[in-house]
Amino acid sequence: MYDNDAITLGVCSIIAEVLELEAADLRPDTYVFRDLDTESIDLLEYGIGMSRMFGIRVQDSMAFLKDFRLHLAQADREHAVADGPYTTDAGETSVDASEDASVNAAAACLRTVYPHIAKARLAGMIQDIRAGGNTRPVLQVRDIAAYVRYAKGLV
Amino acid sequence: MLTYSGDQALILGGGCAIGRRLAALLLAAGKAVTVTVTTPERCQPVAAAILAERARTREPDHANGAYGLSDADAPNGSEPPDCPPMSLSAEGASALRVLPLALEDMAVHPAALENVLRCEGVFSVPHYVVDCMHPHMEGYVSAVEPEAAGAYFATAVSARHAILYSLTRHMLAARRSRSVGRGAANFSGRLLHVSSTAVIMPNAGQGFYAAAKSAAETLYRTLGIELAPRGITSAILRAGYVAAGRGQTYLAEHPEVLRSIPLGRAQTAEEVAAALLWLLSDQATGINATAITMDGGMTASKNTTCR
Repeated sequence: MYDNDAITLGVCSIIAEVLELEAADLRPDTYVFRDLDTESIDLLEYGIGMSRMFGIRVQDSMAFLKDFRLHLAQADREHAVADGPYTTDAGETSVDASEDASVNAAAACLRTVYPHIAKARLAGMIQDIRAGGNTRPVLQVRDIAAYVRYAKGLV
Repeated sequence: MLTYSGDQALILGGGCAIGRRLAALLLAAGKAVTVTVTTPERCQPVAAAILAERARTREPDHANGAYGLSDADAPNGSEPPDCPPMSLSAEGASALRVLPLALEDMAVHPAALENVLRCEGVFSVPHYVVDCMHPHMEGYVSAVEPEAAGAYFATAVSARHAILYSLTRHMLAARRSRSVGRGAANFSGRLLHVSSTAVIMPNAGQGFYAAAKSAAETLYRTLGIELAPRGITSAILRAGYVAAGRGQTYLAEHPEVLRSIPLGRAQTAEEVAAALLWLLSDQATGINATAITMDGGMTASKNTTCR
């Protein structure tokens, strides 16, 4: 619903300016690290650009999901201790159900750290990481735009 | 010949003899200079002292890029000498601003720096930052109450970080608005910190001062590492005994310390300011994320009574 709103377009323009790209080539689902030549110092410039364009104070660690994997590991540890193996109503152990429950539990936990990201999106990030196919960060343009909306009190 | 790509300088804690001298040199070089002092009451006398010193400063010698005093009796004390009220028509007056900003202000009001950077309603972001701020605390490590030490470090370290946080973000943003590309070859800014040999050779009672200076040095060094890819570099000048300000008072009370300096004398504020001016030059940019010691050889020698 936010794919082409002013905030998403603004975030695209900031990233494009820093990386010297065409903003039109960026989409909400563009991965900031996987698809683009983003370095850590570029995040600093993204944050500064966001502060100026949107009039917000940017907390880099939250806006760019900097410690996402650390928080996920913490959530997994807490979930494992709290719940143990998942069993169905019939008393059988279900691998799929256990995995779903684990993802949901972790997503709920991560939502307390990243309240600007929808739970479904967090669950998608968790599944992406657990699949292990790409070790680069899961951050997408739309996640940064979501932070801007949150920081501006729009959600 | 030395060149300077930037045109705006900010000297933090520039009311000291070194800061005033550097401000005069930068004005002579045609730069716009903002100087911060600890209290509003010091603004006018410091501005007058800088302009008086500027008037005594030769124009740059373009053959070698050198600047110097046209007479030998430049003011050297901790307080600005008696000067007539600043004349708006004085040479360099329009390029000089002197404003209050104490580290204590930043500890309480993180936005205090914004007032310094705002010039006639718009942000004036410096290319050159020279940090001469020296909040002082003396006391044995085993004697100073932890609460007092915590308050000191909040001012000397955390408030300094607050200034650097805000300054560097403004410098990076200004770089973007100046349409400077990603490459480090593009000059965006230079950060200098005036430190002390106390960092590596503290006297008894200097533990907190030395620790704060050490922390400040590390912040500056790290900034030079982190921001050099964006054209912002840093350097630290560790001064030994300087015959100005608190140093002059100490030297008067302890003249025997000069025997520990192979050169046989303390540095002058003029010498330190000239070294800083050189460190600000384009040609010194490669001196990045490191410290240079200017102490007449004192800390290099095991012999504490060289002379």
